[in-house]
Amino acid sequence: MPERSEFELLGRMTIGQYLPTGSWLHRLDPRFKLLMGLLLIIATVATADLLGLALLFCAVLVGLVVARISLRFALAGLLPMLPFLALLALLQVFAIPQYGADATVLWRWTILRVTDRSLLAAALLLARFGIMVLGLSLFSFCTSTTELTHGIEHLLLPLQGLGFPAHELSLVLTIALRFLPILAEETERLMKAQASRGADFGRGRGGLLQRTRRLLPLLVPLFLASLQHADELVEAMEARCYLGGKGRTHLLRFRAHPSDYLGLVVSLALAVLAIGLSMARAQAWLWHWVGAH
Amino acid sequence: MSASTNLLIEVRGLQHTYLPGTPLETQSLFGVDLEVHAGESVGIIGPTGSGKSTLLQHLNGLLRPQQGGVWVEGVSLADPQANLRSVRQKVGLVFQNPEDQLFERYAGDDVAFGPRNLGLPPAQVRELVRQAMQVVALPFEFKDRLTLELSQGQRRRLALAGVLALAPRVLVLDEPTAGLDPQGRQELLHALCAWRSHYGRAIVLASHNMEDVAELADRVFVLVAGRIVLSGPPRQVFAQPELLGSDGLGLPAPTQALQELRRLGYPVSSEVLTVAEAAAQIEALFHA
Amino acid sequence: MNTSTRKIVISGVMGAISIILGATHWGFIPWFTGVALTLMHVPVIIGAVLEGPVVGLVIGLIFGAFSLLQAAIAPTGPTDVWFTNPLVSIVPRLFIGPMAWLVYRTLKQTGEKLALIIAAVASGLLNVILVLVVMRMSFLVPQILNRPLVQVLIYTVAVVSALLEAWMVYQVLKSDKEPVALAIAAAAGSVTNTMLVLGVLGLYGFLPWAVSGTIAVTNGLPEAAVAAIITVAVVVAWMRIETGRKGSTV
Repeated sequence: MPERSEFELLGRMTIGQYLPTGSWLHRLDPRFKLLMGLLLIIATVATADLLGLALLFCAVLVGLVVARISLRFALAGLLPMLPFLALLALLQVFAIPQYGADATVLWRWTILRVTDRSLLAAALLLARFGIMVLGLSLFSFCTSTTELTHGIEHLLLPLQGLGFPAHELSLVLTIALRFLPILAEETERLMKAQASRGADFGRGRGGLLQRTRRLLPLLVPLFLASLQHADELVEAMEARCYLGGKGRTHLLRFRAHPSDYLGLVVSLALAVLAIGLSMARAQAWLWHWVGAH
Repeated sequence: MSASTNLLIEVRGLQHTYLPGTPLETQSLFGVDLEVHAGESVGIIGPTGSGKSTLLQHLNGLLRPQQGGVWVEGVSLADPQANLRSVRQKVGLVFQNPEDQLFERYAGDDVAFGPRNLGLPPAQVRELVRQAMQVVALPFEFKDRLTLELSQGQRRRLALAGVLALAPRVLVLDEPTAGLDPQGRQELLHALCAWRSHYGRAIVLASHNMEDVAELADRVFVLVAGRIVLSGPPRQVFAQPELLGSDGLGLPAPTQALQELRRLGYPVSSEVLTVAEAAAQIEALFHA
Repeated sequence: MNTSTRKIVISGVMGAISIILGATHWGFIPWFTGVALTLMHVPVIIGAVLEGPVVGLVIGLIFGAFSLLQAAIAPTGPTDVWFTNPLVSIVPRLFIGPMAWLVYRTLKQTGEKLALIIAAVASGLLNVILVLVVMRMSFLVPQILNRPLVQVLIYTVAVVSALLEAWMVYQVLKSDKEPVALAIAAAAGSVTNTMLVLGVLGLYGFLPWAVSGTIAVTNGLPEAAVAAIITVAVVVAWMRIETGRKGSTV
């Protein structure tokens, strides 16, 4: 029977991976991709209507297809979260008090009550999380980290004039993102090396003090190595005459193309449609309520 | 399968795949066979990405065999009940750049980490640390020095001592001399030879530094793209340059030099492994 | 060495560690309360102690932003819903670094009189808080705690322990030991994290105050201790400090 050892980390996450398929979505200007992502998030949060959310969900699925990402793979990323989503939904249904005296009670058991409102709230919650997860996955599949940091920096550039250190902050972000895979690999190597010397990282045995001390063989070298890397990076930057952000120009200049605007307009339209739908339904319900009285 | 104490590690038909079931799935080992006997030094050479590190991590149970088997002194590592702690005491694995794993403020404490994890009494721990530091030629007084104040070469030897303090039967090393200056390299190889000279021990050395392998190994396995393509005594393996050259591997410099001389028509034997042997061959030319 | 380049790089690197700790299980110590002790604020503290309050602020920002993203993208429990609100996830974390740095710098630079004052005030405050918490929890066992004798007992214990703590803190401050300063600064940073996050959750009404109070004690205090241990181990090794025992224990 194949034995899966406890040391293979980091292979399971679908979020945060860049899958270069060279699709139309991949080739869009990263600033626009960021804006589109932002619109998606705003629309998801602002839409209080299942139909609107269904629309956004379909939009994300279409996006995945356009980006040539296997739908099965993307949806499989939702699997590990299903138990928690279920728990969340149950919490929503039972634990959050229902609002409005006219909410119809569908089921009753001692103090627990299920109303159509709470079911709706749970459904909204599930739908929103589903869209967020898939949407943000889509974003990370289509955007490499360099694109991401360049995009953020260029979007924030206009603020630089107002004294906001956009350049410095996006450099911090670049460095952090650049070090993530390095540190992840180093963590894994440290874990294996210390385990080879009989280290047991204290999962669940002993008092707090003991357990913390057992984590030190992993955490201390990680920090020390990072500080060492930091020193080396500073030297390297200064050796290349890095003098700070004043007057720095960029190699990569972004120029917006018609397809970028197309993407932005489509996203904007979808967002407006979704929010509008939810507001319209709310309106219709409101009129109905007014009419009934 | 064999319970003989002479056969320390046995690997049969080992296969391994990273991230199975994901779009990034890659197979790294395609049925590897290997044996390590007491008293011998086994060299595993192969280009980067050949699966050397993956193979090494199977030898002490960090990776469990997905297909095929690994046995350490007769104990199968595919068995979920296998006592990994005992395996990791018998098979000491030294990672590349082992000085990165030092975490204790004082050097002696870091060497003592391994034996202490085995739950040994302080007196025994002290003795193991003393012996280990002696093998790597670090004075025992260094135990009270700040770890970060030692030089890189000293820290690497300290990390090696940390594994030697477990008193393993097999020492498995991944690129032990990577990043060391010539003197550091010599000191490390010397320490390894000194350790190996004790009865019943074995060394497994994975490297793409041919000179290291030429100097230490009794038997060489050539690993390319997850498969063993060549194995045998080093002189035999290095005598097949065509095979090696096409796999992106080089030869030890002395061997290469003499093969060049042969090609130029000089009557020398190219079955040399070390600089000393090469020098002897060249010197013989002058006496002819 | 240009200090601002250094600050940028340290912010980035420590931020990366915070993310790694949050994204893998290494940043969590399982705890009997069901809520795990977290370690993601430790890089913030270490960065602040080594490089200053601004760096601490930035690393805190990265920590907060990542916890928001994580709550939104890969929730691991129902409580993650709260953390999708930046006021809960980002704003409190901005204060961890500056607070740790402030405490650290103050402890390293205090004169004797100032030390005594700080000691007295700190322990007095601590005791007031403890007493209030106990009083608040009196709804649990009203019969016992409302008896005047018990109340007198509680106040006596509070005063005595306040004096004891003042003396201990004073001793500690006087001795000017680097690891102690680091430990207290780390604890302060960790407590800031705990208090501010729980505070915002309480103000929003997500958590009743009694629950927050309990969590602050059952989780916040151990978390502070853990942060202190790790911070001291790392900084003492990095700065090659030799206080404490000189030499290995082998």
